[in-house]
Amino acid sequence: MGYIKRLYQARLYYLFLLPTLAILLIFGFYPPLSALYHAFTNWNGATAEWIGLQNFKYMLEDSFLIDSVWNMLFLLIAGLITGNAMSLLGAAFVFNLKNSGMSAFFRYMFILPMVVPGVVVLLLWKSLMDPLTGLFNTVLASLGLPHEYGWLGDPAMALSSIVLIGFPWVAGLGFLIYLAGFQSISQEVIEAAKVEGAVGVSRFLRIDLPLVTGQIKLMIVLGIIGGLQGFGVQLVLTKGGPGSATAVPGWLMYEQAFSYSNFGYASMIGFVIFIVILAITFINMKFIKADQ
Amino acid sequence: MKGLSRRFPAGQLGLHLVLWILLLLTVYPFISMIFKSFKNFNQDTHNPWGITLPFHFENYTLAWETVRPFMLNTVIVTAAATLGIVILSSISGFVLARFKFPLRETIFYIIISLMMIPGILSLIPLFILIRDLRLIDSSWGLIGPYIAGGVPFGIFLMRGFMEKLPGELFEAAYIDGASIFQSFMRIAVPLSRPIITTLVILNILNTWNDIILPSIVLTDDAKKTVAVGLLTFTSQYNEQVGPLFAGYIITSLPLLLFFIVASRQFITGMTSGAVKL
Amino acid sequence: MFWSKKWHQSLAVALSTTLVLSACSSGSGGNESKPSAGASESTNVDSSSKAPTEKKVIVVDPGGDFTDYAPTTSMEKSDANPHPYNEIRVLADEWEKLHPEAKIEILSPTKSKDRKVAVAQLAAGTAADIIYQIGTFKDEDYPKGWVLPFDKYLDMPNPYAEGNAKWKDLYNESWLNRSGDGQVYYIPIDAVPIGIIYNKELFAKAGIDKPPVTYTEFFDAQQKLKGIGIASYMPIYRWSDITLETAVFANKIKEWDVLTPNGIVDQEEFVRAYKKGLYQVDSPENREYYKLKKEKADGYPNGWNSIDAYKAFVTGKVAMIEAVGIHMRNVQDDKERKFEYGTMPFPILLQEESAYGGANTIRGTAGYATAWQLTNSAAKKGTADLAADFLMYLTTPKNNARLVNNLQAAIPAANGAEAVEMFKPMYDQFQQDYKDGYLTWGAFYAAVLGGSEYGQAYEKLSVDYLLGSISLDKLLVELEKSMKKSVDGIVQQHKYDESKW
Repeated sequence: MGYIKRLYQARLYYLFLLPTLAILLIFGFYPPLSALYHAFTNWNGATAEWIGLQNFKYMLEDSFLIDSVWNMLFLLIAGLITGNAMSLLGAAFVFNLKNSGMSAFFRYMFILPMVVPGVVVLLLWKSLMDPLTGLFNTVLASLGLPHEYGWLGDPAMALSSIVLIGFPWVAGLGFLIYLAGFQSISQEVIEAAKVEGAVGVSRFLRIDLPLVTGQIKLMIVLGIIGGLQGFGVQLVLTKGGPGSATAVPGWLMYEQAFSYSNFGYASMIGFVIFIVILAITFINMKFIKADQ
Repeated sequence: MKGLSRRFPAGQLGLHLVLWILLLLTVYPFISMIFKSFKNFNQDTHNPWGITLPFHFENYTLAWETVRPFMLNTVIVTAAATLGIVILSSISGFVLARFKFPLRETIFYIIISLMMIPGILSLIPLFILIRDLRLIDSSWGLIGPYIAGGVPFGIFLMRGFMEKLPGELFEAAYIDGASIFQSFMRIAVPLSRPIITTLVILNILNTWNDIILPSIVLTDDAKKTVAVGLLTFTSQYNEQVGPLFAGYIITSLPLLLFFIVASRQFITGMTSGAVKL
Repeated sequence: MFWSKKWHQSLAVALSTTLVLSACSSGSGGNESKPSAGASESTNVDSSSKAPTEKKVIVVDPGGDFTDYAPTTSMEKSDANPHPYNEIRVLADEWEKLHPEAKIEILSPTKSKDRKVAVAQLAAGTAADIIYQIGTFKDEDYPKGWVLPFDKYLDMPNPYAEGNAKWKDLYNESWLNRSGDGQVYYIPIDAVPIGIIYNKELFAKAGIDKPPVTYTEFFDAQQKLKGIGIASYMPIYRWSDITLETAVFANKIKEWDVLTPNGIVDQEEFVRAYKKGLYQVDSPENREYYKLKKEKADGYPNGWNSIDAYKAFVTGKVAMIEAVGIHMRNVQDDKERKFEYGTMPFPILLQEESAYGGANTIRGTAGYATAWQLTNSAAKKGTADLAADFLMYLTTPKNNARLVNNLQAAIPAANGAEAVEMFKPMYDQFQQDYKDGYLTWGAFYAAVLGGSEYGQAYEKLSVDYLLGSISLDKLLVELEKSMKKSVDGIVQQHKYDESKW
């Protein structure tokens, strides 16, 4: 019974954790568990009958859903690149500025956009990309270039247009995290590198970058978690369209729940997405730990 | 740093140039948002991207009138939620970081796994729960879920940070007879100021602008938040772009203010080495 | 104590500034029912009052299909607030005087328009007593008991309308969409004027001398416009497609409209037709329908799914837009518009043009639009009767006109209510077509009849087809799959008595 004894001895710690666990249990765990239960029913908001794995079967037959996985993968990978590459570079540039006044200035300016709600940014970009009245096509036309692009309305361009949003992708949380990462590199390391003759680009590649891999990993993990389930753009801009060109599983789940009232089916989709996120993050973490 | 610049002035010039270009590209959409906030419907229709005169300051008046009653609610909900998240995350992070006890890792990972649940999955059951707890129209119906939403990441950050605090400080305190709680309040918290600020800012940003939860939980005008209040400009067929953007600018100002004031601590928190894997 | 003075100070400054700003404002009270311009005194309705009061509170969520009927924040007309409105509050105050036992609270802005909000509220029983939902949703909601039937009220006399024997006399019977169980689950507030707005200048430039009436003329006009390099047409809603679909299937409607012969194929009749193979997704009529649709869509500008049609029209970038009342109002109001515009009804399909032509839908309006419903909240609170009474008050011809005309966006639904000047031509065209025996609006519309799942699949797949992403054959195959699944779901939910078929 040594285990019970240890539990008893640790009771103070559990006590400290209690309020947190209580709130998490009520508002954090209960809803998804309830949703999990309902994933096996035909819940429509009012009644719910148990139907076992029927919803899962529907998922396998749902061609819209299966096709949407490709869209999601495209957006996920493109998003990981745009969400990290430019902000990493931007942070590196700002980090290497000698003038501390300008450095602070750029730092503030690239962080400020975080204050604006995401919806606003999306709406702005939508009107920028309006094929007839948007800025992009208008400017292209005035330059005499081909300007009849459909952007978000063209099925061939729609996904790329979504990726385009936020260009040049520097500002935001990534910038902040990476800049902080660079700034936590101790001066000694930099001096030592200088002595070794490593400066500029060479130093960046051999010293700076490796020292922020921790931040990069965090951003990638968060990016994957978000990208697998995200549907904000679809909700505000495309509704999965044109046609089904920009549909992603997260969006289809939302549609099933709120447009068709198929809450049971939607819960099953959500549950499967969760399992996938869990699995990938798990693999991710193993990969990261192995690195260390 | 100085040595570098002396050796590569051209490099510095290049950096400045590139950064200015990136900045202008980044900032242009927001500048056009500011222009748009001064336009009326016709100006926005016929000249959406330029500066149009006259400026229609009444957009701001209208927007302010619309969100003014909701400012206090938003501040209360945001402040309470953020406070709750910070308190719970720091205590739990502290305990999970500095003490060993059975099930410690299990508890930690279970809490973290909450971050991976797609939000929309929980929406309806959460709403029904709030109704059953009779928290509809109550600010607590918002604050509770917000806290539960922010705590997992908060614990992740706090634990990461507190793990790195030097053990000697605590040893000394315990030898002097300090209780766990005292060591927490007198040592861990003051040292964690930067990471706490980080947590505060991130959560304020998230909560302030959230539309989904307040839309379904609050039916009473009295308790609405500004984010929901601004929806009035999108709910009419006529999207009144001017007051809408004016409203967003107005409601971003307190955030901006807070951000500027607390940013030094924020940066320190971010550089503390706890925000990574 | 543990924070440095400076940080503490700056934090305090930031917080207190915000608090002061909001404290100054909270003095005006959080629960602002916008003050009415009328002389009424009862402006502040305290719905959350827990104080002991006998008054029943009726909560109204006054959305609308094209414009909400919620009072605007301010009654001052300005560029930012071009259509100040609070007629509904004025009407509510008048009604309250007649019914001192009740109070009416009007939500502003409307919330139930957002379907996910409405669903959450209805599921939890916290919705407003009178709620606005797009008409199609009521067919999903009524089986769950989320909305209440109006039939018993419709058979009562409307005490506020002179000489009214039954409330339902104020409406065209065939236009009141009865749900699957034969009951009426909504009260229409307005009818929407519909048609096409066209740019007279561009028409002249393209050599189109009169507005097209038939599809042949319409396609011809599109070609001419393409010739001068202008996008010819932008849909805002896809309603002209509905009239096209009805036209193509017109001859079959008689075959299907047997269970309740009223000129409209309702859901049960449709399910019967589908199950008996009378309606098939892959049928010559449907192929003709899609062929015509595609020809029309070829004139749409590139990327039409993402274009703001109104803005494009008013800046002269597209020659025709499918429009409803509110666009017509806005085009009229636009002082910077540099061209003359005209309105015309949707094109019709003649027998000479197509094997399936000959019978068309009424032009001018699309039938009843804004649907206000009574919810389970009213049943729970016991306010259903009072709420229905309030609706009776709102829908007398005179009051309905007051309610709707102020916004100049739609035509009041009640028979005998006057429409605004701008919509009279539409209204007249509709009256004419009605007399001439044109088909009722929505006599047949598969996307609705087939259930919401089919409807959504249709939306996506038909757009894919129009954009050239999939072929016609694949479209029909996929639609058939969705239709089968969707109809099965309907049958399961409704448990029809198939012996009657």
